[in-house]
Amino acid sequence: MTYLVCGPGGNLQVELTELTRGRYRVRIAPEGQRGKEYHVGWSAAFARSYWNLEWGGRRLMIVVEREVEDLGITIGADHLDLRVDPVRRPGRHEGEARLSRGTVEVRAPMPGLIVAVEVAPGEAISEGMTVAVIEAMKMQMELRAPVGGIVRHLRVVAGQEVAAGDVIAVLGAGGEGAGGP
Amino acid sequence: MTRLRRLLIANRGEIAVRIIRAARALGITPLAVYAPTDATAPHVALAAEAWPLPADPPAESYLHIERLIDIARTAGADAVHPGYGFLAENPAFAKACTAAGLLFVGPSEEVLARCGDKVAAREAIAAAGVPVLPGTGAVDDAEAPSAAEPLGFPLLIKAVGGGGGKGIHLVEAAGQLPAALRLARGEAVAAFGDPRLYLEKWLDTPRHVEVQILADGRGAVIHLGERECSVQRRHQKVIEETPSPAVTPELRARLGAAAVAAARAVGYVNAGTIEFLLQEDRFYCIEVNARLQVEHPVTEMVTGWDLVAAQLGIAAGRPPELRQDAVARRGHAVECRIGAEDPHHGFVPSIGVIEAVREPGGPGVRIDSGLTPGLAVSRHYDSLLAKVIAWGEDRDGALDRMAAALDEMVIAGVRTTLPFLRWAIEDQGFRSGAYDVRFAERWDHRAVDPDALLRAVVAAALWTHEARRRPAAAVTGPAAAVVESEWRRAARRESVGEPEGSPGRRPDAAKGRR
Repeated sequence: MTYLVCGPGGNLQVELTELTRGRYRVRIAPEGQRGKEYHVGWSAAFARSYWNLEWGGRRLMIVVEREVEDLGITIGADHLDLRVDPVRRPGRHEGEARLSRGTVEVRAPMPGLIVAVEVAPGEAISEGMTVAVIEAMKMQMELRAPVGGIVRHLRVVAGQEVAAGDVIAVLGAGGEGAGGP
Repeated sequence: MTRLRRLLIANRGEIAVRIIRAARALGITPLAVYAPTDATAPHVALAAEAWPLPADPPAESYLHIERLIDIARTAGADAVHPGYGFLAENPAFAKACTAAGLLFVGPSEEVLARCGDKVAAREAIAAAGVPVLPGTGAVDDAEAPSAAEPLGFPLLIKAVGGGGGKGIHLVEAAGQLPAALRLARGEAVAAFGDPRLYLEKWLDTPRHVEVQILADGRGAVIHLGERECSVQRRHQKVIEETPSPAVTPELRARLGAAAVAAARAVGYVNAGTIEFLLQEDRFYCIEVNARLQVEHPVTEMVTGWDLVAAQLGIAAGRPPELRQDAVARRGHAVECRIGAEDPHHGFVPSIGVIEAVREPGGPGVRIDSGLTPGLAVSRHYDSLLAKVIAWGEDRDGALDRMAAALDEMVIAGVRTTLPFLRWAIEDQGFRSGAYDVRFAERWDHRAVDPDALLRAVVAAALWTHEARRRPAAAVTGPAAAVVESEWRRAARRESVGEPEGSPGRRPDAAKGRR
């Protein structure tokens, strides 16, 4: 079985062959290349999110958690958010349709209470402007617009509880891009 | 002089557990209170009795003075320990305790009011000849810009009624002042119920060094040495150690004398902390923390004192003998605060349910923890989950033990600051001892281990591969689903104002009576 793993450093194909229960031959390659082969072990370590990876005779504890859209992998102090898709036909990857073109969503980075909403639907805002203020654990945080544009939809009101990943606002490309596809 | 028999602990989490332990060791019966979400918390299980509070928001639970006093009376308590945070430095609470015939374990209402007004306290301390940082009085939004001028930028906004790093904002330039004031005021109201803010000069790379003091109320004031607290995120301390790598015996004596003078200047009684900023060998007093500090265990580890026991003794009029020349310090101690924050995503609070915990042990290792499987980590309370404290004959010995203890510690269910702490303890900049309050910023610029990247890619593929073979429910992450529904339930409950559990005043005697 082959997977395409997408991360900040680019894409890698990972081909897994299970030899015995929990033991795998792994081939890691940049797309279209042959790559290198390793033998590893994989087993549950602790609770649901901690796993043991055996690699080169050493056992490492690895944390695997779901992020909003990706998998969060933590090894010691290091962390990567990765996206994994099975590869059905080698070389073809069809995972890029999740962003609808022309709009950008502002999402809640944590569960919390919306204490203020600073924009109104239809308002033109610039990059870095505060869209809303969220509070959790006595900390208030400004949610800023990642890009400038028109506020297409506002999904929260002040006083509302939100979960991590909830959409706060949808911004449409402003000015020249308005009314795009 | 009063004989303490029953002590109500008006707090939660690890500090409630810490106080329960001190009470038990002294033969005092510890009484807990708990919000609904804390029903299964360790402090509830360890107390002799646990009394329910009707709802989770702090204003209706751990901050509700009348309700807490009511419980203390009904439960037959003769004293109340406020811990830190919540009502610890609230003069109205100390007053209400006294009025109800309860001993308040801490300074008197008057001393709390004096120390709680950071502006007035600073003036009193300066008048005693202790150097202080330049700053303003309480300012409103309109007068802030002109008040800021003599200080220059950057500067700090602080809450007059504040503490614990809450409500503190660094302002780099005049243009950012209005937005920062608004955020700081919001936090100050939420955390302290007091919107007043003041401005203080910002030193670029000072060290944060504080001195533990004890005052018996009969004229004796001593210090137990310093704590180095320069590893901070968002003005909240994350790692503390004693002795400070920057403090020589000569400087310790000067800091100690200044701390004792500051304590006398505000008429301090009980255990307290005088905070300083240290730049080279010059120090400036910034505030008095009129409570037990989160980081008090490092002082306990090197001095052998039980600071909570000392607090209880002083409050009851049976203080331990306070003699400066009887304070002996041995070895080195370090504390790491484990918080429910995600260090890989800007330290945003992580809310959820504790799924499982493994706590470390061994020689010289102490855990003060509020963790137990099934406990909800709620947005209502501080993110601190547990503290790991390690002692060694010297600094390297203490740090090596800490590194091993952090590797042993596992918390599943919420994201924690453990990865940050593991990195910091091994970082050369920290190990050298030559660090300042900007140290933690290095986390954002650290090098990532390329081997770890490769292993992460393999782990992601393996996890996905095995998840595809598990039942569908497992793929979407059962932990996440549980948290989500718990969260939504809580949110619904709050939005309709429907209380969970009855506001009755019967102790939950079934819980942990032992």
